[in-house]
Amino acid sequence: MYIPVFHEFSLVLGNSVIFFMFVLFLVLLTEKRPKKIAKITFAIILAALLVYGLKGILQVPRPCVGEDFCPLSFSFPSGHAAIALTLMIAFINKKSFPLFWIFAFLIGMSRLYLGVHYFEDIAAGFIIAPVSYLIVDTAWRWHHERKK
Amino acid sequence: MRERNRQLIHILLGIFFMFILFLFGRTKLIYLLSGMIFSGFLLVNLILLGYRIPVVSWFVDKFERREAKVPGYGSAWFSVGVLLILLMIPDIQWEYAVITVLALGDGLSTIIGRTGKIRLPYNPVKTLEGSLAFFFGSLISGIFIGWYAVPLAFLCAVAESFPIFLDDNLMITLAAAALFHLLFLL
Repeated sequence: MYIPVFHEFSLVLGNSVIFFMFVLFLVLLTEKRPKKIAKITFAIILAALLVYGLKGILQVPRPCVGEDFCPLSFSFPSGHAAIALTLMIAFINKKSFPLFWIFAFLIGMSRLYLGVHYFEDIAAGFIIAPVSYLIVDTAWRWHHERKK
Repeated sequence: MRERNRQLIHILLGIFFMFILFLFGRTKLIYLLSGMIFSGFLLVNLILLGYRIPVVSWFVDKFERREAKVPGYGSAWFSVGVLLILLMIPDIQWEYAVITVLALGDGLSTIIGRTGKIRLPYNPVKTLEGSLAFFFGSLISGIFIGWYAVPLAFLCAVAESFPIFLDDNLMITLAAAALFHLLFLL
């Protein structure tokens, strides 16, 4: 099924470099405090590391394997979904949260729409995102308590 | 009383997930959990911003721990734990067993552990009575996986008792998944 605007959105943000830049742009647009920006960045980096570690260990082939458009990396878990959800969780107590919620929803749907992920790959983001944010948040508090 | 009711909800939620798994299968339960967690985030955001949401706010007021970081913290991690079971353990009998451990073992350990007297040397927040309740409560998972329930209950009881900042639900699930992969897939 071809959905005009959503198709272009999916293709453009499907590119990992553009996606990372867009995520950074969203963070800088909505968050002004440098410490919070740093914390979100660490959480996103940790989520990305977990994703690439798991991809390398589990080596699940993508549903699109063999097609021209299919990315070369493995399928499980979805890095796009995990990062979009990590970003969303970072703003859980903010008025801007619905924006990130919609963004995460569209990113998840776009990966399924393009046929580059199974639903399980997207669902794994629901585990990786809160774990990444919790680890960074705990380390952050621990570091600041030590400094005091 | 509040904590006991909270744990009863925890156990009932586990039974509900097991019913869904039994009736509709693994994939449908993954859809349901993903939908629940994703919509749950939006509800948490609205509650944190001061909105009152019918039914949800009542549940939070009645059952959530007062010291919880965000509303629905326990239920969210429980759902994430069950999702982790479904994604990491590719055997339906083990999935039933670990959900039983997560719901019943963890629930009983909290209810009984709070009345316990003997503190664990490596984690003074938890008691020996709580860990024993976890172990014996989790043995019910033997209905699904036979004698494998003994190492599963033991390992999960140990994982649950450690003072790690990750949520108990996650620690139990990771321990169970590690045991499963050690026994059958390596």
